[in-house]
Amino acid sequence: MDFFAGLFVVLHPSNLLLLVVGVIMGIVVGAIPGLTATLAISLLLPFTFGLKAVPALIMLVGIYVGGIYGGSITAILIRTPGTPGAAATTLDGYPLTMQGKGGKALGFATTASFYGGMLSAIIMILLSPLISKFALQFSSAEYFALAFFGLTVIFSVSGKSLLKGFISGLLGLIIACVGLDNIVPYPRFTFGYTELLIGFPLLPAVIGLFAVSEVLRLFEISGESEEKIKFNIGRILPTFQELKSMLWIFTKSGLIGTFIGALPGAGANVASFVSYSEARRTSKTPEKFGTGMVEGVAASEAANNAVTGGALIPMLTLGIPGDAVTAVLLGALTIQGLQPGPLLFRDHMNVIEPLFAGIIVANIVMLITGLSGAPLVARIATLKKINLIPAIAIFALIGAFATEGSFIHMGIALGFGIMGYFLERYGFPLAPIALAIILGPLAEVNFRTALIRSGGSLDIFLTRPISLVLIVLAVFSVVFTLKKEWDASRKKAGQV
Amino acid sequence: MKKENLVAGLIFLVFSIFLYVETLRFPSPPVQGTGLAFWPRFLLIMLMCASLLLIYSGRRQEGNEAAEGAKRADKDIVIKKPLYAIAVSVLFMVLFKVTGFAFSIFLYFLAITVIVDPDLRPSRLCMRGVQALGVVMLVYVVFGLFLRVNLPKGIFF
Repeated sequence: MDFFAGLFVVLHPSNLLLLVVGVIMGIVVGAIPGLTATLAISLLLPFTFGLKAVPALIMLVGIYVGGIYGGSITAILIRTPGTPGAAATTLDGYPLTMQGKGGKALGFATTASFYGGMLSAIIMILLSPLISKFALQFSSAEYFALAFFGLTVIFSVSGKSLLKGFISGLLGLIIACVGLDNIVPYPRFTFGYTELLIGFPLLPAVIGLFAVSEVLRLFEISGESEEKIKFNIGRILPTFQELKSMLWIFTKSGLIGTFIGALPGAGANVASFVSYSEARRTSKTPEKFGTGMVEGVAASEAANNAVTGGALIPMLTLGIPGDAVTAVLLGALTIQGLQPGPLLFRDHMNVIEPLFAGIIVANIVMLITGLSGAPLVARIATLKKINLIPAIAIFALIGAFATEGSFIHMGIALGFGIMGYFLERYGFPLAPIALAIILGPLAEVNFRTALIRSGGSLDIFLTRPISLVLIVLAVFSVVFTLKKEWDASRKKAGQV
Repeated sequence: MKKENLVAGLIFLVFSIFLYVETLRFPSPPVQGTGLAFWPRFLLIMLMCASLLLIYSGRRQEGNEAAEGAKRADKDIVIKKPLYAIAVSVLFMVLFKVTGFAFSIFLYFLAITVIVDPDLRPSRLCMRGVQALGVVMLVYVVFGLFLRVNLPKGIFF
């Protein structure tokens, strides 16, 4: 493969312009609450119909990369994840904004996204066939173990009370059970409402939990001095030393994101939480996660942008989309008369080479656009309360409506917002609910599928090496957190 | 917070028992542990146990009632505005469907700004009216024109 021939095509002024426009459009759409990267590509797909295959794909790749990154902006500044993949970013990003370090959070989110995206693109270019084969060996046992490992982060984002965090997590898992069962087509907890048959859609639920509940909380501060919610921006560009100290988290999260992206059915949502969990597990100060740690933002963002390269691996090599976005991209390729799979690499290298180069350039464009635009977008956080509150409320509710043009979705966002507001008010953290809604279905379906395969024996989770390693890591992580909590409470009791 | 833990624990306990009873109607599994009731039942039993723990912790720490009472009184005052906002948001949803996006967003913006800052001087209201029109235009441009979302036009258009 001649990468530089592809790069030459991408750097042609008209193609480069399309790529830049794609990245910017992706960032804008991704940053709007309710509009995901999938929706960004779907909405902007018609613009590419009149283009030839290569320019069209270059533009779509730009939208994809920009769309995944864009979700982090509002997640950090106003606790409104633009995309579900950015839900983990809110956990530390928004506390950083409240501490007047929103600029720093944006800077790290952008550089981490760039690093994760570049790493995954390089891995995709060099190791596509190998990763594809390995990912296909993942069975239900491994998928369950992966989700289980991700779910252990519930304990680390529980805030002051582990018990309340655990209850929040259980609530999220139960909410994820609502709707038609994925294995036996029977409705669960729908109480006769056909609207609930598809369950609670993820995006309106996440918008409600984080954005609407935050709007309601901001009303509580209403009447107090403006300064209390008028945040500073702070420095945006990370220093070389900061980046150096974060290199391992960037790399590890990038690798996690690439691999999870390559797994069919597991996308940026799963990758960001699993990576966050892993960053927290190996941190020297795990108890500070959720209070404004740049490591949390970096882990989540490096992983969710690394999904871009990872998800393209099975799509291009086998014709199996890694996530919803690549499913739409697969459709776009087909519209252009190309059939993804092994033959694509044999017959259409003239398309593959610019596509690979396009992802690399798209990440560079994303980095430049993100860092240069950050001072401007970060000003959102400095808006006066009287402008900020209605703006978040309207964009959150309209964003929830816009996902499918559904009034029900708007109602779900409001309902989850009210629930989230009261839960948080009484000390129940919201992050475990979002995490459980995202990972719950993956855990349940694969747990039951694995049990069906094994005839009801739990041995299947412990006799497969990858599954065993993930479960041991998860158990270790939970035991470690509980022990630390136990020690802290004993110490407190001793002081009293 | 202690009494609140007690109440929250009781609510979660009743909620989990109610849903557990609902799972009894689910079809039974063909293989042990693989039915559609297995996972929710497992979660609900865990939730029941966690709720009992929360109730227990609430009862154990129920001593300092005076301080708790003062804190609760403060909380009752600050919760008024969020409750108004919830009511206004529910009304907005109804209006959004019936009267369309433009009229409902205009009113919603005005209502929220009044809850945040109840200054009803005509000059302020005029300024907010202009801002509300700006937001309606912004929503139309971003969602209606750029993203082609089918915003409800309502009975006025």
